[in-house]
Order: sequence, then C-alpha cells, then structure tokens
Amino acid sequence: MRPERKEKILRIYVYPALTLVAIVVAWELITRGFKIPEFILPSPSSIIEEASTAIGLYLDHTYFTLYEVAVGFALSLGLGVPLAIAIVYSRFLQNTLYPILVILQSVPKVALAPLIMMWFFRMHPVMPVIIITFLISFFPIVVDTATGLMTISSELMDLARSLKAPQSRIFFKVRLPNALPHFFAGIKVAITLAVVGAVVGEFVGGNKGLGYLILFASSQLLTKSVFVSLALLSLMGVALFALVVGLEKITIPWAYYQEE
Amino acid sequence: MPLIEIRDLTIIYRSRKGEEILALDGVNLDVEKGEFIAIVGPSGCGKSTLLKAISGLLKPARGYVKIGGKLVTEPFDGVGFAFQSAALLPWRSVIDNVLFPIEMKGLDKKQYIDKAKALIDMVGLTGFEKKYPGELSGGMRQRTALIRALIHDPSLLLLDEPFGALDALTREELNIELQRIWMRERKTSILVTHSISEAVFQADKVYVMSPRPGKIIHVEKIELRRPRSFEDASKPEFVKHVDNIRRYIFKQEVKT
Repeated sequence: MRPERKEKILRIYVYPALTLVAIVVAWELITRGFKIPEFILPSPSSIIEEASTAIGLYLDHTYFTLYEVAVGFALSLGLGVPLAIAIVYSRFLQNTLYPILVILQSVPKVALAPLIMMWFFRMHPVMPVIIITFLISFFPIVVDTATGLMTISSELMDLARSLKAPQSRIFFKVRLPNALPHFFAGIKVAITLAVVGAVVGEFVGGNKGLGYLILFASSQLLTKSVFVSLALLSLMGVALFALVVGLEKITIPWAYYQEE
Repeated sequence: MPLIEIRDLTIIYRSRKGEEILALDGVNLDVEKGEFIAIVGPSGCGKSTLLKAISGLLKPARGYVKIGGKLVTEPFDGVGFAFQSAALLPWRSVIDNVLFPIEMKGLDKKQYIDKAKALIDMVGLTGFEKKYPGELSGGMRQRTALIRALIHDPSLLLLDEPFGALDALTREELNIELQRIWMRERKTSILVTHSISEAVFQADKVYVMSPRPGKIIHVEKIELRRPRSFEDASKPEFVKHVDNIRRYIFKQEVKT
C-alpha cells in the first residue's frame, strides 16, 4: 500500500472511529462515576442491553419507518423526475411552476404536518406520514434535476445541433447524462430529508415506527428505549445515504475526476 | 466557384434585456475548397457568430451563406466543430468522445472504431482511449476535440479558438499538429483566433475583422511555404504579415 493511501484510510476511517470509541467510553465512565439516573442519561452498556433484549420489537418499528421512507421517497422520485423534465422542455412551466417550486423549497414543509394529518388521516393512518415524507424530499429532486438538465454548455448544444441530431437523441445522450451529477446531489439531500419527514409524520400522528417509539418512550421516561430508537434511526439515515453514494460511484464514476 | 460564398451577411442578436445588437454587418467572404482561412479581430467582434452563421446555427437578418452553391438555411450537414473549451462530454471516454458525432448522426459506431483509433494514434493519444476527460491534460482534451471534429469526415472544419485556453508551449505544439493534419487531409478550414501569429502560421488568407459590428476590414494573403515552423516566426516575411495585420486591427481600435 502506498503511504499516501495508508494516510488517507487513517484520516477518513480510523481516526473518527477511535474518537467515537473514546466518546462512548467517556460516556460510560461518566454515567457510572456520577451515578446519573438511568431515565436522564442511560449508560451505553444499558442501552445495548435494552436493544438486545427487545430486538424483535425494535426491528419491527425500524422496518415500518423504513417502509414509510421508501414509499415516500419513491413517490417523490416518480413524480419529481418527470416534472423536472417537463419543466425543462416547457417554456410555460418554466415561467409559471419552476419559480414557485424554487420558492416553496425554502418553506418549512414540517410546519404543514398537522394540516396533512388532518386531511389524510381518515384515508389511511399511514397516508399522512407518507405524504409528509414525499413532500419534504420532492423539492430537492425536482429543483436539482431541472437545474441539471438546464445547465448545459452552449457549445455542447451547438455541437449536437450542428450534427442534426433529433431532440430525443440529444436528450438521452447529452442532457440526461449531463444532469446526473446534479440529480445525485438532489437525491442525497432528499433521502436524508425523507427520514426526517417520516419521523415528523410519526410524531404528529403515527402509531408505529421509530419516531412514534421515541415519542411514546419519552412520555413513559423509558430513556433507554429512546436512545435505542435514535441509534437505529441514525443507522438508517447513514445506511440510506451510503447506498445513494455507492450508486452514484457506480453510475457516474467520471464525476469523481477533477474537471479543471 | 468558391466552396463557401458569404454575401452581405448581417446578424442581429437579441440580448437578454431585449435590445437588438448588430453582431455582423454586411460580411463578404469567399472560401475556396481546400483553403485554410483565419479570422482575427478584437474580442466580441462577432468572429464566433460568423462561424455559427456559416454552420447554419444562426439565421441572418440580411444576406446569405452558400455552401457548394446551396443556400444554408438550417444546420449544415458536414461540419466539424472545435471549441475553445474543448466541449468534451465528461461522462465519455476519449474514444467515445471521438465517436460522439457518429452516434449523434445515428450512424453505425462499429464501422468507425478503426478510424477513431487511427485518429487517436495520429495525435499521439494511443493508450488514453479509455480515459475520461477529467483525467486528461488541457492539451490532450483539445487534441481529442480536434479529432472528434474529423471523425465524420466533414467537408468543412470550423475552429473556434481551439487553442485559446492552452499554455503557450502546448499551443505551439498543437498548432504544429493542426498544420500536419491539415496538410494531410486538406480540409477546408476556418480558424477563429486572437493570436495574429497563429493565424499567419496556419492560414492561406487571414481576414481581419473590426470591433462590433463585425466587418471584414482587411485580407492578408499568406504565401509562406508549408510546413511552416515557429522558428519562421522571426523571419522578415512572417513578421511583415504579422505587423501588417496588427496595424489594421490597431488602427480600427484607435478610431472607435
């Protein structure tokens, strides 16, 4: 192994991992040393113990939240990408809908949660959670995909036009691949936000899932349970993000080479 | 009859603010088949606009462009473009970038792979076929762009400041390469450049354009023997051409 590479692995993986271990050890020592009550701050060992005794229950809630995230995110992909394409090809939508979408992006969608709950709960109890998840992850997908499709060098378009290529070919061979880095940037933001959306939805009106569990457990002062749920949520968020990054590296390896 | 005939070509742009901008004003120009011409002039004089109009990407407000006796009214089939920014597709390897025009034209890629490899070899990029543009130096990218303009055997080569972004040494190197390619293929070529010595080095005729609205104000015939080298650049006949052209550009700028 080349020394620079070894240095890089140390810097990216080993040092942060060691820091994390140190924090956990310090946490354990502090909770034991100062005899901090378990309902205020449980020790890492008791949290792990809690997780292992009721693993089935926790996994059940984890799957449920994951399911909400997956459906909400899939919806925002399925509606967001076609809408972005429509915006790029329609002058009308570009002038009417696109500016509104850009503005709406900065509106805190979380604030709409109670309203959505009120409107959609009767359809199906999971419905509002999925809609909140969808809504929160939809905007970065549409806006980033549309931006990616629109930001194309005029020289590249001139070249394509001078070759008399039909529009469909220009779309699939030039615009679409050109938009992929933007698209993935949007997806990375969206997948993280989707988890936030599901948790908020469950806070406001869920009856299952990790967000619901956090709310329920804290009302009962079951702090250990809150921490287990938090850890699982974090793991889910990191895993989903890593999945997207992995997909990005496979799909667009070229984007990782420095361009000028 | 010249291959390209440009008469009274006038192009009006509409800017973002909606004002009309006269980019080209009554340009007359003839290019013979197999001729290499260069166009020099100050920034923003409409040199690139002229290239776009010749290729049919822009519609004239007045006048016309004829290629091979036919009026150009839509993008002209058979043009090879090279730009200052190289304009490579970053998601395609060198060989796939070279084959890009073939794919865009809907031709069979397989039949052109050998030709692409020969072109890659011609500019010394063998071994880099599978590299992405992001992994290449500026000179290598520009070489790729240059041969991409040749792959579909265009009847006309349009070079829009192809070496403008390169360092001086790479620039000389690529100019020598371009001359070699031209001497081999004898393609009708139009080179737009800021560099007077580059224009004199490459062209049979150098057209000098005025600041906007662009007009042709002088034609300098270059009859130096090919292959030319950059050592020739200090010889009196070369210097005479450069000085002459510079005088025309400069005079115009003082006047406006």
